[in-house]
Amino acid sequence: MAGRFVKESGIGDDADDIVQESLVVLWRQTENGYEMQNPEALAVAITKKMCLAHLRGYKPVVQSIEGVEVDGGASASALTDETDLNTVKESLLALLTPTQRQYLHYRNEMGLSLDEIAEVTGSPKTSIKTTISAARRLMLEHLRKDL
Amino acid sequence: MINLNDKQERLTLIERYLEADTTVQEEQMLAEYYATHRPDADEEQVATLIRMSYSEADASLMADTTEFDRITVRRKPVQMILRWSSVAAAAIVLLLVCLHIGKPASLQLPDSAYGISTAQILEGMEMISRIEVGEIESVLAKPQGDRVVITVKLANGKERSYSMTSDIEGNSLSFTAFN
Repeated sequence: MAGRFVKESGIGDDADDIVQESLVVLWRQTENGYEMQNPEALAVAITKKMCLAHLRGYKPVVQSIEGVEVDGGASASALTDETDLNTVKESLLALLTPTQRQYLHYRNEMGLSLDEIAEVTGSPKTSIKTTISAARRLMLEHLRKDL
Repeated sequence: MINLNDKQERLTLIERYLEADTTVQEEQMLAEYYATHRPDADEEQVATLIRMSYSEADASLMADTTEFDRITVRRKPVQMILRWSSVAAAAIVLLLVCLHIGKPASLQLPDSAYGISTAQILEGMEMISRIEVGEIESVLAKPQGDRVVITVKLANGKERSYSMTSDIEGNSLSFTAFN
């Protein structure tokens, strides 16, 4: 699949590299504890996305930073803001059911469409849509109470 | 194109977001908007929800995969053209065979004149369409004597022609590019 994309799109990247990076992402997904009904569908979705990322110039750079002096990349206030956001996120995710958390993970962190989530989980698309919508509204309701 | 600076359009998109009717790309647009704009008082909570949702997103995975499908099936129309071309090529060969049968003995061409089968013509058309770079608009095969001229018309208007011949046993095909 990656080989066909490389040929058709004309990008100079190596299909093997794309597949390897896709498998790394897939491997990370096995560590998050979510049950996968159809790992093949997830592998296909990840590979497609990785191909497109390469088309848009994505190049994973791995190099040693030993001996390199690095300035802080974010201001203290930005980091505090980010930490606050993560704290809020954790407390809101704790309110959700495991299924709601799983669907939101696929949606928000992996960028899967409803069709792709349906393929990966084996659940109907309408049920996924309703579940995500209910989760978002529940979290918003709690934010409105707390903020 | 959605203009997020327009509050009404923004609120409509937020409502669709809450209904899970938005695409990943639209949701990312909202997240980027709120990461760079201070939300109005009535949007503060929803802005937090959206920014929070995409705070751990893997940027390399956010592409819409329909683009992948569009790129990899770009050559599909060629198959349709080939199918019609196959019918046309078969008709031409059939016509030539009929004409050949009707000719007087003295005008008969050597055995190798029409030694290329319809299947070989189709095979040749397919091989040529595979080696061509660029989007193919049409492929035309015209038997001429003991050879078949295959002309490929590209979407950019350019044309390339190949002369296809077969050995006497019909075991191998040779191609010569004209231009």
